[in-house]
Parts: sequence; C-alpha cells; structure tokens
Amino acid sequence: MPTIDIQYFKEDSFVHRLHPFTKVLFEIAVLVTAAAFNEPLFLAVVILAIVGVAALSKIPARKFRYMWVLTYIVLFMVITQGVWFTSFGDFGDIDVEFEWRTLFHLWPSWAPGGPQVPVILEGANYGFSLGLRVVAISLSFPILVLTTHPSDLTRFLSQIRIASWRIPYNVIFVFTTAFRYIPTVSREFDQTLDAQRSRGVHFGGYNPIRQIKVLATLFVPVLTSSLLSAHDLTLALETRAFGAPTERTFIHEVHWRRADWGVTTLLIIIVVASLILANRYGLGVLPYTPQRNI
Amino acid sequence: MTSAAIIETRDLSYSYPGGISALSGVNLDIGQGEFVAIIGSNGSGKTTLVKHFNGLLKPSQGQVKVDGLDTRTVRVSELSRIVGFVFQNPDHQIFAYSVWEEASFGLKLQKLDADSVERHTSKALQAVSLNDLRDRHPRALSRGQRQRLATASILALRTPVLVLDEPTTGQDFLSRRQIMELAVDLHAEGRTVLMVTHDMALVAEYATRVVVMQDGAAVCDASPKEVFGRDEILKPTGLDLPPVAKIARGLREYGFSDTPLTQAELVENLITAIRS
Repeated sequence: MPTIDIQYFKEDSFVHRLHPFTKVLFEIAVLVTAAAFNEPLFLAVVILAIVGVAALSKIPARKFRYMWVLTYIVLFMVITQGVWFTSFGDFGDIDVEFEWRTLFHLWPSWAPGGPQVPVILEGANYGFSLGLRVVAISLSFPILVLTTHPSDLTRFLSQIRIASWRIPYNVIFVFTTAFRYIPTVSREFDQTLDAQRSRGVHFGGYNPIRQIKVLATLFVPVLTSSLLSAHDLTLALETRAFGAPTERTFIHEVHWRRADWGVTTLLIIIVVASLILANRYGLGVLPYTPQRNI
Repeated sequence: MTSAAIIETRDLSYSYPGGISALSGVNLDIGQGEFVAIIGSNGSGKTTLVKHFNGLLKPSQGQVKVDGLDTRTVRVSELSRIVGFVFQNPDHQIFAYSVWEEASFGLKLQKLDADSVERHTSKALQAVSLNDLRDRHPRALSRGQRQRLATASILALRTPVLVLDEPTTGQDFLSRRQIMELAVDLHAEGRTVLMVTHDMALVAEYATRVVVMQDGAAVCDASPKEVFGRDEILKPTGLDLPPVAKIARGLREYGFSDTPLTQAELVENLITAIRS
C-alpha cells in the first residue's frame, strides 16, 4: 500500500458526480478563504468544512493518513514564528498599549546567561495559523484527484477555450500524467524504503547529518527509476502515434449538472463573504498581522 | 542438517490497510540450514509472507519469531543482521556511485572496521563474479549484473538467513545458474535459504522443502518429490510441473511411477526401468 495514496477512488458520491470545474473551483475557494483568514479558529472552520466535503465524498480516512507529517510543519511554523515574529517590525495600526506576551525562553533562566530567546505567544499563534493554512490546502488538494477520474480531468481541460485558443493537448497530457504518476512514484518510494530497511538502514533517529545521508539511499533509486520510466513512457507514446495531427475525440464526456450550479453559487458566496469579512471588518484576522507593502 | 527453528510463524494472519486479507493462519517452522522454496500463483501471499520474516510487515494476528525475537518488537534494521533480503528489483536499492560502494554499504552501517569491510565486500563480490567491476558505476551494469550486485550487498552482511524474492526473474540462463549456484553454496555453508519463485525447474533441482501458498494460506508444506508427485496439490494453484516431472508424468501409463527432480535422475530412472 503506497504511503501517499492519491489516485482516483471509485465511489458513487455527490462529490464524485460533480463536474471537474466545480471541484477545481472548490480548490480555489479553499486557497482564497485560507489566505483571507489568519485567526486559528476561522481556519479550523475552513478545515472542518474540508473534512465535511471529504466525508461527503465517502473517501476512507486512511487515504489521508500520511497527513500526519503536517504536524511537523505546524510545529515548525509555531516555533520559528514564536521566536522571530517580533522582528517583522511593521504590524500596522497595532494598539499602543499592546504588549508581547512571552510564553517561555528557549534558553531557560537557570542556564548560564539566561533567560534568552523568548518564544512570543502572539508569534506562536500566528505560526499556528500559517500551519493551519498549509493543512487546509494540503487536505483539500487530494479531494479533487481522489474524486475525479483522470480522463474526466483531461476532458475538462480540453474543453477550456478562450476564443479560438485551447490548452494544447501536450500540456494537458503532462498535467494529467503527473497526477497519474503520483501513486506509481509513491509505490517506488515504499519499495525502496523496504529494500533499504532490509539491509539495515534505519530511517528516523535524532542525528540530522546521518538522516540526510540515509535519505540519499531513498531518493537516488526513486529519482533514477522515475527518470527511466519517463523515458520508457515517451517511447511507448511515440509507438502509439502521440502528437499525430488529428482532432482528438473522447469516449467519455463530462456534463455540467444542476448540482454544479448550486455548488458553484455557494462557493462564490462563501469566497466573497470571507473576503468582505476579513478585509472590511477584520473578522478572522489577528490584530497583530504583519503588514506587507508589496 | 536441520536443527532448531530459526523462523517460526504461529497463526500468522495479515491484512493490508483497507482490509484486504493477504495471509490467514500460516504456521511454519523453518529450521536452520533448510533450503525452502515458497511457490504459488501471483497474489497468493508469497511475498507478503516473506516480508514478515525480517519485520517489514508486522502480523495483524498471530506471531512471527526470528531467532527467538518477536518481529513486532524488534526493528527491521536489527532483524537485518539475521535475515538478509534480496528483492526482485535491484533498482530499488542501488544508489551508490560504484559497485564497491554499493556492496559495502550495509557493512559500513554496521560500523565494521575498514579491513573487515574490504574483506567481506570483496568476498561477496567474488561470489557473484563482480569483483573485477568494483569501480564501475552500477548504472553501467546490465540488469543481470545489477541483480547480482544487489545480491552481493546482502551477501556481504553474512546473515544466517537469506530470503531471495524471485531472484531469477528476467535473467538469462547463465545468470540464473549463477544465482542458483550461489544460493546452493550458501546453503552448503549452513545458511538457511528461502526462495520465492515461479521457476519450478529451480525448485525441483535445488529446494529441500517446498511451501505452496494459495489464497494467503500455506496449503502444502512437503518435500519437492511429494509436491510434484501429487496432482491434487499443484492443480488448484495454477502452477505447472517442472519439465522433468512432466515427462515422468507422461510415462506413468507405461508403468513409470517415480517423480524425478533432475534430468540426471530422470535418465537414471529411465535406464533402470528399461533394463529391468
């Protein structure tokens, strides 16, 4: 069983029946709402909504099991932001009486020269929200791939046209092949992991230099075999007349249904409402959000 | 040559995540110094079974003991000192930039001194006839050579048990012979050899014991003679008899009742039968 198991999961659910465009819109909606808010509570609601959609699509929870690695990302964000947050400098019209609260010191008071390196509560909170954004986006992305048949995705992309311009089929092919190869590469990865563990390589442990060394034993075989299979794929494509100058047809057509109108409208309302709430009323935005002047 | 069991499985059952049952109630005792062939059709659970022998998979139910250690509580990296595992596809493990680096990698992990690393690596490379190519880049080797290199890197670890998962797939006759002769030599040295294979001719010729897997269960555990002599064992598994046994089967109606396992045995038996 591959570690990262995101390939089309056959099931008859409401989400599966939706048009690929609606699902792409859902991904965009998640991106926008996750970017609009940075208050952990609001982001938690976004994540809950995504979990709800995943449940609606009847995807088994085990497909998301690999997401535990995100815990590290969240933790990393919390700690780095906790330490360096105040060095952002510009926090906009922050309250004059506002004071940073120190959670603890990385270099404790009982150590010589301590306490040093304070971890700021507000920074940790901001870091937590950044982590939750990553969680939200990472959770939502597999939903599109798990519930959309690759050929539907290809068909949908080939339907997009602006005036007489269409996405070239080669580009669509690269895009859909990349999706198709995620589970393959993941399986390669697992088999390599097994092979290396079988000869005594221990993944994990606390020595970072050793970890980098043992990671080479994983990535070199996986990358090499990926390159080789890409090469094989091009040969297989050539023999099947890929790129022949003919108009492509598709056996399976995708249709836009009434449910798609409903979901699309709902998504647009949610996105617009989130943007207004966050930008106009400052709801779901931390009062000490660093200001960026782009 | 067999003595105490080095691998024991008790009511071993395993289900893959998602509930697909791959093994059910497997009980095996593999003694030290045995040469066991594990056969069965695709998807019968052969590889799943042997992956339990070095802890890559942990039993869903039941128990696997390797040299007295419960595989559930011991790390794969520790079990790798007892059970060497050669995978079907060498490209899943080859990462180093020279044949020697690749073959010596496992030994370096065991933190052996430079002399021992050199000695054991050279010996393993000699065993697979790759010592002359020790500075070559592994990618510059043929597929057969890479398979032998992967085997050498496990051989170098000098584990008492060796698991070969379809070691001869995609190999030409010569490389196949070479790998099998190597396995036989290791067996002669007193090591336990477990071989997963579809090649019945190899099983007949080399194995001292055959475990037949079907739908996740070990349906037969007997000597090659017994397995290939009785129709009812192999038929439901969809496996074929080795060519020599097939000829003997064809001769049954002429009063030839034996099940020879090698060509020499067939010839000898035939001549005896004709003369008598």
